Amino acid sequence: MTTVNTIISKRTSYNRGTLLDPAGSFWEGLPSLIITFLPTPLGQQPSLYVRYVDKEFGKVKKIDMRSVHNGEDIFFKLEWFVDKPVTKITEGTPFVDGAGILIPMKHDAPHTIMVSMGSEAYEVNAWYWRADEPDKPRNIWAKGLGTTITSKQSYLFSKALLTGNRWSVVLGRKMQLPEQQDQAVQLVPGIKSLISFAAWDGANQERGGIKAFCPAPIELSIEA
Amino acid sequence: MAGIKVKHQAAMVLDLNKCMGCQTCSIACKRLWTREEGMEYMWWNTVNTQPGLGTPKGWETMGGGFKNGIPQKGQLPSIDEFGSNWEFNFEEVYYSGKGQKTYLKPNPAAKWGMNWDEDEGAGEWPNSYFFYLPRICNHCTHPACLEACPRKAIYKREEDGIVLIDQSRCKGYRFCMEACPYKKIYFNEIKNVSQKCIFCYPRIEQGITTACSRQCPGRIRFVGYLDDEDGPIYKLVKKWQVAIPLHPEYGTEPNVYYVPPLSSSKLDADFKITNEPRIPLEYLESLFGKDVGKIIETLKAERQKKVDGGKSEILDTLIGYRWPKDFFKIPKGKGGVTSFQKGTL
Ligand code: SF4
Ligand code: SF4
Repeated sequence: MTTVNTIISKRTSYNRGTLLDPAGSFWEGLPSLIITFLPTPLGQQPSLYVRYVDKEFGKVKKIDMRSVHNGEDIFFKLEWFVDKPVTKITEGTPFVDGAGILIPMKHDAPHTIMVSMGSEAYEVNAWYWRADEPDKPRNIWAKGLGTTITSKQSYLFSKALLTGNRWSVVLGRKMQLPEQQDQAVQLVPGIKSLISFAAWDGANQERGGIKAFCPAPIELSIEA
Repeated sequence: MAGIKVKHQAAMVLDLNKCMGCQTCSIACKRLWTREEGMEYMWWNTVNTQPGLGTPKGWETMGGGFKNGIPQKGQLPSIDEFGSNWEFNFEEVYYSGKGQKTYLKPNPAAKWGMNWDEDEGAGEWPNSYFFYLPRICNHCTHPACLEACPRKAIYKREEDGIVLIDQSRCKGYRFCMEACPYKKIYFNEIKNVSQKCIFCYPRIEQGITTACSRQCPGRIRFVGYLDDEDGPIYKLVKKWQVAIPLHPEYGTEPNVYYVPPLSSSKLDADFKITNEPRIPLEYLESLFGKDVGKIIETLKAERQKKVDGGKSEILDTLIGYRWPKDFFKIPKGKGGVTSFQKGTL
């Protein structure tokens, strides 16, 4: 495998309320990882129509990423720029901005399944944030392209801040979620897992598989 | 991908010579299916005046469908292009004491509606012309919507070929709306899902025809199965070939067929009736393809037979003397109720 970027989720003692604040000053002190995005490969799209998309997509070129946990909850802060933020479906803007985090359900999953949204053997868990419901992230799990299912209940929390053209979004969850074993990845301090990210530029009508993502492997290391 | 094979295909024939543009069909559908929040602007059944821009505005130029089997890029119609749900200033007119100063009007001003260009048509007096074109989802054999959906949320039922959007699988990506060349899919912003005509499948399963056809005072609609050789659909479409789909060149193989409209004759400068039809044949060909002229000739010849005191099975079928017996032939489905209970719209 090529060089793997590693995100270290630092342990802190701050509480959930503090960590969820995207403007919180402690975030500045954390190491950040810049993740370079590419448009998703169209050849992989399950629908021939989508493969014929003729305009440029994958407009978000990179995101800036930090992570922290307090032993009980884990948080990711994603920051990125868009040309024209879209926070609401309106007449001229049928799609909104969004971002997502992808973690395999099993910690030993191979990197290939991160690009294919999971497989029969290795399901993936996605945390999906959308600008029109900025504090209601959705929990999704999948076992291949086009198979995503949204959980009836989401135990995720998020808070977003739009400053000019820059989104700062904190997404978090309890690391252990016994109430959602089948649909949510279980995390503990000390483990390593693959992780990936994606972003949808609403103004560019990006949705579904039409998005920007990170094809290179990224490792999440949760500080013990 | 080629067309999808089904056991039987539910289909509709609409005789455009009988449509009077009353919109009873549109209202019948609205009352039955699209009364919930998020569905206000939806008209799964529309009736437009031709020539005209229709609904959504200019839909025939919005792309989608197939060319040589290859999906064509389509445009996503907006709510304003369909025509939004107009809000009226009832409060101001009726309850604020300003009733004498202002009048009832949509607020904000309406920009388009599902029958906005009603009765405009084309041509110059005294030779102006128009006809009505009711449209629903065509429950196509090669549905562009179904193929476009990356989530496989759209399916075509094996038992009757009805095309449905599984509301629990739809994520509101709206690729189907772009891909459908007839622009017959609507987006529900409240539920974040795409919705469209369901060919009244819960009624069809009970052996009852669709609401639009049952309520039609013009009795222009025939409903049944395409392979039922004793039914009116088979006879009109396959046997006599006097009913054809709209825009066959879109490549989706629709299962809604039209008996094209005969035209009144043009008047000359002295107001004498000529042999020239007011509706130009080229215009009808642009809608129904090259076969339409032949059908018009057949219909005229059949009409002449009746005028001459003879018999015409084709005309008798189109007239339909026994209502509703001559119009609908739908066997009761088996076990279809399950799909309704599944919550699929
Ligand atoms: S008319 Fe449009 S929505 Fe209906 S089946 Fe055909 S392609 Fe799909
Ligand atoms: S109810 Fe019948 S006659 Fe009236 S507009 Fe609809 S199709 Fe035409």
